[in-house]
Amino acid sequence: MGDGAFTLILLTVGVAAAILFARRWPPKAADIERGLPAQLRGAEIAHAERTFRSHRHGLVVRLDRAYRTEGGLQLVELKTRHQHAVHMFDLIELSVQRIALEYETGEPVSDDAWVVVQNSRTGTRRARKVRLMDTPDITALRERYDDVVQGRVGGPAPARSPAQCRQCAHKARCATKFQDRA
Amino acid sequence: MSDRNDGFVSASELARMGYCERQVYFDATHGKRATPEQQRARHRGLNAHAAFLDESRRIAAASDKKGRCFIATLALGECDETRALRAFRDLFLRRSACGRWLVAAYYRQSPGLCRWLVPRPRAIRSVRWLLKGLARAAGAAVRMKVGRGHG
Repeated sequence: MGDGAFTLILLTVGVAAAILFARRWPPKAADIERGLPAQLRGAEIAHAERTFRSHRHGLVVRLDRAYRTEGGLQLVELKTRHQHAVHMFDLIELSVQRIALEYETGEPVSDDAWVVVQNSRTGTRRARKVRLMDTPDITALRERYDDVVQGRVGGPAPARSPAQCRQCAHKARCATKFQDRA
Repeated sequence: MSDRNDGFVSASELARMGYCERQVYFDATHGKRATPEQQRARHRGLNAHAAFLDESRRIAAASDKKGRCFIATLALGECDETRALRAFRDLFLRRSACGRWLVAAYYRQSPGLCRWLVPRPRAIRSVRWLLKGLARAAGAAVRMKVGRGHG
């Protein structure tokens, strides 16, 4: 085998090794920021897994992450689900987090937040941007919550889809009382 | 997290109103119930959150490592002034090419300057005085930019 062929083989092996190395050894920063939107990569984490309270609204939250960005603190909530879907539940939860965080720190929180959904089967993450609800809406919901809990609401709203009832532990009780969900 | 016992309602508890109000009502009147599938989902969620928190710590540590204000930390320690300077760096300097060049130049020069300062307490005092003034200005600029004063 000539010197030229040997050099070519060596070069090919070297390039292949470099590609393999690069694929198997991603930078740590990319790995720990997986699933995050580009806007938040490299941004400063202001709070992580911290509890905040709003005495004025009677709300307490434990937020997953808040990043400090130019548009104010930006909330990030992690969810594990079978599908990469965002629900009303997430929107309310994040909106409550905004109220408590602003109340306790005085620092403005962005109207936009992120829900990072981790697929419970594959482990892959995807981020979805959501627009948070206004404070009066949350205040009204808080009041309705008290009414529902105290039994002052005659017909509390059922789950949007009957499919959601399949996993509910109160399914039989609900069917007996309201007789509209089997 | 506590709910009604101390007068506070948690975010996740209130969010359940968007899922099913009847479930909230039955939980309040009959106690919280969870099916085995819900318990498994909760367990998966807790594990994922533990990993997410660990990642948060590593991101914060990496950010601290790449963006530590060496001289400010030496002269002032970890305090509101150093945090104000850091916020100024992130909100103003890192947003322009010129600012990023300045930040990079600072990180290149500051370890050497720190070594020079360490055995000179009088020089550190002077730097501290200077940095406190800068931090006050930086803090004011940051507050103006983020529009502090809510709440």
